[in-house]
Amino acid sequence: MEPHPKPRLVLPGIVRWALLTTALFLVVLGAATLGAPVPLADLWAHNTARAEVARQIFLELRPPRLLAGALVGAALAASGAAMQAVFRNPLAEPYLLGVSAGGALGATIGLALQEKAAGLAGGVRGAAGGFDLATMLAFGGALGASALVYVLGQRRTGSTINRSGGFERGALLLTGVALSAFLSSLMALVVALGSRDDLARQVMFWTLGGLAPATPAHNTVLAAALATGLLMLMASARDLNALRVGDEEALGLGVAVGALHRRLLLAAALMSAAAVAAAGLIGFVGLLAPHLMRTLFGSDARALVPASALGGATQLVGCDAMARSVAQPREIPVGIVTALLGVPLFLFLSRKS
Amino acid sequence: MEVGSSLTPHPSSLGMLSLESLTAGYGGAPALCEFSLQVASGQIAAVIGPNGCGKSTLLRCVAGLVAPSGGRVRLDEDDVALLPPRERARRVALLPQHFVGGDELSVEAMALLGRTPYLAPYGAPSPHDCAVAARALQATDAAGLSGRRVAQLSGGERQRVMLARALAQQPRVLLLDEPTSNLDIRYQYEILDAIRRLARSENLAVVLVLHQINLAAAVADVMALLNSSGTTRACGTPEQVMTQENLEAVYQTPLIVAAHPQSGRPQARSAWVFQ
Repeated sequence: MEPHPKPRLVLPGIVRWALLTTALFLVVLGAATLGAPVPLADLWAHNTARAEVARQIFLELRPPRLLAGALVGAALAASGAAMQAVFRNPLAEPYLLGVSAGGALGATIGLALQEKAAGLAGGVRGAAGGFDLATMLAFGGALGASALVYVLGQRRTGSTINRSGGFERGALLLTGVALSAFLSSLMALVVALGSRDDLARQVMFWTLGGLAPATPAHNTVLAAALATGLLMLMASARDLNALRVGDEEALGLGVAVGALHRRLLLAAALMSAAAVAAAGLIGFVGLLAPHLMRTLFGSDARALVPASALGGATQLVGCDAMARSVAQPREIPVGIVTALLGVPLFLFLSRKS
Repeated sequence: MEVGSSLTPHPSSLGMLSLESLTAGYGGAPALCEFSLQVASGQIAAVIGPNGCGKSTLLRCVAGLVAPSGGRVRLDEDDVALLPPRERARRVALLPQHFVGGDELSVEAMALLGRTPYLAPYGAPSPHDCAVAARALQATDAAGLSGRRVAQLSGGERQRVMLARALAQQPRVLLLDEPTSNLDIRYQYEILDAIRRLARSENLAVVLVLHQINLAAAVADVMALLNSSGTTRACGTPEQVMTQENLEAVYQTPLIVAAHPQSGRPQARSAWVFQ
């Protein structure tokens, strides 16, 4: 007996995984070599000077940003998969519950204070182990906003699902929308009152997202958040699968639905907050990658979660390579590319299904 | 309330599922009031009553989806409300009236979801789990539907698959909320026949909520009739419960009750004559 739901595009599982990993490999390879001043083959050149240049470019300068793209993409997509499972809606995405607005407010405050703080402390970057103030405040703001939405969005009713810490989706969504609007206004207020002339421009570019500031320190934190979140999701795969038939039936199947909701929302918030802090507000990766992977791999969480992570990594590394190279020598914010490519693809997919 | 709740055909296994003065509701006035019933293994109990009398609440209570505000549900010696969800799901399976999701699943995957309470957190089913799910599909005559998606099934086919999922939980108690709604008359009897066979062969205690009182009277070993207020009007054998007096009092309409010519079971017809 075939134990898994048959996905729409019927290919043997091994072929699907091979295609996905090949796609990621090719995109990373392409992104690494695209626009490089020397060919990749120089790594193996006999001329030591040329080999040294290639080594610096391909093994030192470019990997942090490639890795950041892969980690942020994977974190957003896995977070999106978790949100879509909780809300049982393919349109759910990581920014639904205030992560984006909270992160943006934190980043804005950080950017507003940054120069002052840098002047005072002689460079916060050095003082905080490679993180600037905006990054740290964005991470805190994103996590804080999700926690606030979760607390304010609780509704107590008589059913066991809610008593065990579950929630009503409508109440949570409304709280998320309202709090996001509130935090966005606060962000605008900070910009309006800020003393720096270029603050508005900096904030705008931050909200459009970008992987340029990626550092190994960022990547370490990102990797830790991604690993934690993925582990939490994979350790909930059985319950995620039961959740596909609804909260109440899942409860009837023995799933502690309230605890599951909390675990999934926590994993989603952790991963998306780390992504937002590292790269700003990159849209459509968290929505599109899990959606696309569901059509390829079906809805079994054991396949969908890791496939979404790989798909999100592929998508963002590819989009970032384009963002770097289409308007050279200028770089456009990667959030613009993910949206410009993602929206038409998403519309196409949603028309098909 | 009439006596007779202790009348069961298998006194030896009496009291396997025991509902004791169960009261439940969603805030405000209780939907279900002081309901008591005992169902033995292999027996089918049918609960009937007008709309909004708390029939579904009763099942949700027994399944642990709603905590009772009074009384308790005992399964053997355990209080169902105190069982951990996984343990409860291994003993009690509920077939809900409405299904909200899972249309995209294959028939096999849906049946396999019944193994959820037996799986490790990562959720990989063992060959044994797959075999149990496959047997459950055979038991409900749904094995031929393999490979299809739930969304492609007719109402009767879907009901058989959902019944298979409940059986794959290998429960001791099977709760069915309107399993015949939206089915053609042939499938109504087929699904009830399957349930009756399974109750006997798997030694299940079955509690069935039915809107159609004649179907309930045809299949049940024990019946309970609820007033619209959620209190119990009658409880006992179909003959004890399905009296003209009881039914007219509860449903507020003139009725004629007569034994079915073949089965001898009481069946009610409306005494309404259009002018």
